[in-house]
Amino acid sequence: MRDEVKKELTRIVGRDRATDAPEHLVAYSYDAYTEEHRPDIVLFPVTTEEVSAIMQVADRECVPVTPRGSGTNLAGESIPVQGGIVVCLTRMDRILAIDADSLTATVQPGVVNFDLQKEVEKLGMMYPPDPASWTVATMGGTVATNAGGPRTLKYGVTKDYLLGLTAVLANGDVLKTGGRTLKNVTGYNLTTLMCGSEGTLGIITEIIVRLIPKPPASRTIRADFSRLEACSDAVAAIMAGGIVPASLELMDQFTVLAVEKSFKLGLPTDVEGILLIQVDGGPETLEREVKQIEGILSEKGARTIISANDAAEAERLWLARRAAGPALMRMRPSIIVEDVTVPVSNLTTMIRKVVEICKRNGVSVGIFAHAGDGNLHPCIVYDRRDEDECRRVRTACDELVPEALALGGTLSGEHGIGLAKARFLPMEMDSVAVRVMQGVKKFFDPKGILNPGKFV
Amino acid sequence: MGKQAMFSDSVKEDLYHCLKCGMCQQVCPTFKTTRQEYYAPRGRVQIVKHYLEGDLRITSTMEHALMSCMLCDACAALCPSGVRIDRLFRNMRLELDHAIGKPLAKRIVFAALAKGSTTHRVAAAARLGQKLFVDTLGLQLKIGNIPIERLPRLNKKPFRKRTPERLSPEQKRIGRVVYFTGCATDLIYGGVGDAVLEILLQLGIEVLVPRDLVCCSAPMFLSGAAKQALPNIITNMDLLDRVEADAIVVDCATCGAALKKGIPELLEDLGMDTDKAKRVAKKVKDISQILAERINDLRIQDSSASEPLAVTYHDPCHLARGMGVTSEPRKILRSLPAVKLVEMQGANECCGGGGSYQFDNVDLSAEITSRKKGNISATGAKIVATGCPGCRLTLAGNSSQDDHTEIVHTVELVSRFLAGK
Repeated sequence: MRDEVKKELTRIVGRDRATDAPEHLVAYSYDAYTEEHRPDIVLFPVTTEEVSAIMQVADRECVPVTPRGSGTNLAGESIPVQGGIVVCLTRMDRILAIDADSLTATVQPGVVNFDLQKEVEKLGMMYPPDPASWTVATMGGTVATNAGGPRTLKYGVTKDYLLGLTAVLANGDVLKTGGRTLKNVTGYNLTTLMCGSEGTLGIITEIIVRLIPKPPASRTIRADFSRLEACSDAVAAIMAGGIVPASLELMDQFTVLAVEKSFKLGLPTDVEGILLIQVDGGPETLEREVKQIEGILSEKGARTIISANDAAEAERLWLARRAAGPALMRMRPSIIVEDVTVPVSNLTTMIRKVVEICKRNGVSVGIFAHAGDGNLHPCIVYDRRDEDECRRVRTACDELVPEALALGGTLSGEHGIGLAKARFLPMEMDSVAVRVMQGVKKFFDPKGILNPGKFV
Repeated sequence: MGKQAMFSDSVKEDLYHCLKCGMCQQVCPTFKTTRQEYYAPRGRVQIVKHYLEGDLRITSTMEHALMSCMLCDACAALCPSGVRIDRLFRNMRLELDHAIGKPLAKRIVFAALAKGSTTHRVAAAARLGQKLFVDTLGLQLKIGNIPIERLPRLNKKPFRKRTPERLSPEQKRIGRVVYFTGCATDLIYGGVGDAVLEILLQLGIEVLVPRDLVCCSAPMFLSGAAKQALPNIITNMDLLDRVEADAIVVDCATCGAALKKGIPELLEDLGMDTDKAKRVAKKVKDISQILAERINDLRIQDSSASEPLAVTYHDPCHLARGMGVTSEPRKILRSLPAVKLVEMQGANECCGGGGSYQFDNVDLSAEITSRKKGNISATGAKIVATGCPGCRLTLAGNSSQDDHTEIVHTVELVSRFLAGK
C-alpha cells in the first residue's frame, strides 16, 4: 500500500488509532484458525462516519478491507489474506440502549457478547446466542458469522434475534436495515442477508437485537452410556418426546479420556458417551420434564443418571463439558475444531464415520457435539509442524464433509466458511445458488475489496 | 549469548501450543483497557513467536508490547491450552534486557537493591529527600501517577536493623520459622513486620530474622535484569537453605511468588542448578497461610462495636496466582468478630500497579487502577485488606484528596483486634 494512502487513512482515525508497526501487524495477521497473513495497516474507527470515510478511500484506491472483532472465529474469516486494511471494531464497544419495554437492545459492534448478557440479565432478560467464545467474542463478529452456541437448540441462532443493522458498504454508503419491531416485512430481508456474510458485503457498525425474558429456573442432568448408539438414541428420543432442552451436549470417549487426563474430574472412562442436558422454564414444567427425560435415559440404557439438586451441583456437572475444549487443546500443539452438522437422526452414523475416517488416516480425534441439533465438533489434534500429519489431517477433513452432506447435513453448523471450508462450498451449494450469491456480492462490492480471498 | 539464548526448549515449545483462540483477552487488564490485540496475551505471544522465528526484530514497539504487560498471570491461569504465558514473557524480557539494557533510573534502583547495606544507605538518603522536598519545601511532584505526598513514608530505621535476629515466644514453642522480610517491610511498611512478629510469637512460633538476607530480586528479574538478580538469589538461597526452620514466612506477595515459583523457574530457564531453590520453594509460606491454620489459637477481641467494620479484600496477583493463596486471607478476615468482609467485584483483578509499572506505563496503569478503585468504592468498605506492598502503594497512592479508604495488610488488621489492645 502506498505511503500516501496510509497517511490519508491514518488522518481519518488519528495516529493513536492507526498502526503499521510490524509487531502490530503480526498481532492482526491471525484469528483462531491456523493460517496467517499480515495486513498493511490496522485502523480502529469509533464511529460509522469514520468507517465510511475509510471505505471511500479503500474503494478509490481498490485496497482490500477485512473487518474484525475479537478474532476468535475458527474458520479464518478475519484473516486479511490479501493484505490491505484491517478495520478493527473493538473500540466501538458501547451498549447504546436496552429497552426493557420493547425487549430490544441496540449495540455497537465491538460490545462483547457476555457484557451484553450481563447487562440485560440485570433487567431480567436474556440474549440467547451463546457461542463458546462469548466472554470474548464481539457482537459484530457474532452477527457477521451468524453464531450459535449450546442453547441454540431451544432458542435459535443469531439471525433469529437480529432486528436491524447499520452497515457501511464497499463504496462508503451507509445501509440501514430493519428496525426495532419484531415484525417487519418491508422489502427484502437485508438484515438476514448481512447476517453470516462474514464481512464480504459490508462492515456492521450498529446492531439492534431482540431480547427474551430470562427463564426463571433451570435443571441439569448427566447420563453416562456404555454404548454410543444408546447415547444418540436417547438424544433422538428426547427430541422426539416433545421436550426441547435448552442444551443437549454429548462427549465421546476420547474427549472424556482427555478431560480425565488433564483435569481429573472423576468421569467414568469406560463409557462411549456422556450426555449433559439442561432444561429451563417454570418450576412445574421443569419437574415434569426432568422426570420424563430421566425416564427416556433409563429406558435407553443409561448406566448412570445424575440430576443436579442445586446450582452448585449443576455447575459441577457442566464443568465436565466446559473442560472438553481445553482438555483436547492440551493433547497436542494444534487443533482443528470441525463443525459438520447432520439431522439428529443421523448423529450416531456420523460420529461413527468421523471416528472411522480419522482412524483410517491415522489422526487423533475427540468429538463433542451440540447433540440436540446434530452439530458435531470433531476436534482433530495434531502438530502443525509435522507436514505428513498435516496432510493426513487435511485428507480426513476432505473426507468428513461429503459424509455429512450425504447424510443430509451441512458442512458448517455455526463456525462459518471463511478460508477453512471455502473449497467445500460448491459441494453443498449448487451452481445456481453460487451464481446468485456471486451476483449479490458483485452488487454490494463491485471491486471485490471487502474481505477478498474468502468463500465468494 | 546470542539471540534466543534465553529460551529453553520447553518454553519455546509452549509457543506452538498457543492456538490463538483469544480467550485470554477477557482477563487481560491491558487488553480490556486498550481493546488492541498487541496489548493482549495472544498478541504478545505471537509477537514473541515471530521474533524467535526470525521475522521480527527487537524495536521500541516490541519492547513496549512486552513491558506493558502487568505480569499479573491472569492469562496463564486461564489459558485453555495451558501455555505458561507468564514464563514466556519473563524469558522474552531477559532477551530484551540482554539486547537493549535498561534506562539509567532503573539501573540505579537495581544497584541499590543488589546489596543490603547499599539499599539501607540509599533509603536513608531518600528519607531525607522526602523530609526536605515534601515537608520543608512543600513541593508538589508526581512520580508516575502518584503525587509525591501520597507516597508512603520510609521507615525511620530499617526493620531488619531494629529487629533481633532471633525472637522466642514467651510460652511453649511449637515451631520455628525464618521470616523473609522483603524490602517493603524493611524500608517502608515496618508496621507489617511488627504485626507479623506479634502474631507469630503469640502463636508460640520462634522467629528468625537473618540480617544478611537481601532483596528477593523479583524487581530485577521480572524486568529482565537476570545479571543483577543472580547475586541476590545466590545469597538468599545459600542462607535460606542452610538455616534450620519449619517454614520460610513472607508477608509480601511478590517475594513469596519469587521464592516459590519465579526463582526456580528462572534458574531452570538459565540452565543453572535448581536444587537449593526448589528445596527453599517447598518451605515458603505466606503469613496468611500460617495464620489461617491457627487463627483460633490467637486471642482476638470480642466484637464490642454494634456495627461491624466493613472490610473488602483485594487479591494481589502474586498471591492469588503466584502462590495460589486466596481463601486463607478471607478465612482470617471472617474470623475477626469486629469485621464484616464485603467482597468486591473482580477482587482478583490486577490493581494496575506492580514494580515500576505505574511509572513506566502511566496512562494504562491509571485506567486499570481507576477500575479497581471503582470496584472498591462500590462495596462501601472503608478498609481494604491485601497482602502485597505494591498493591498497597498503588491503591493508596491513587486516592483522591477526599478518599479516606485505608489500605492495610491483612495481618495489621488482625493485630489491631488482638485481645488486650
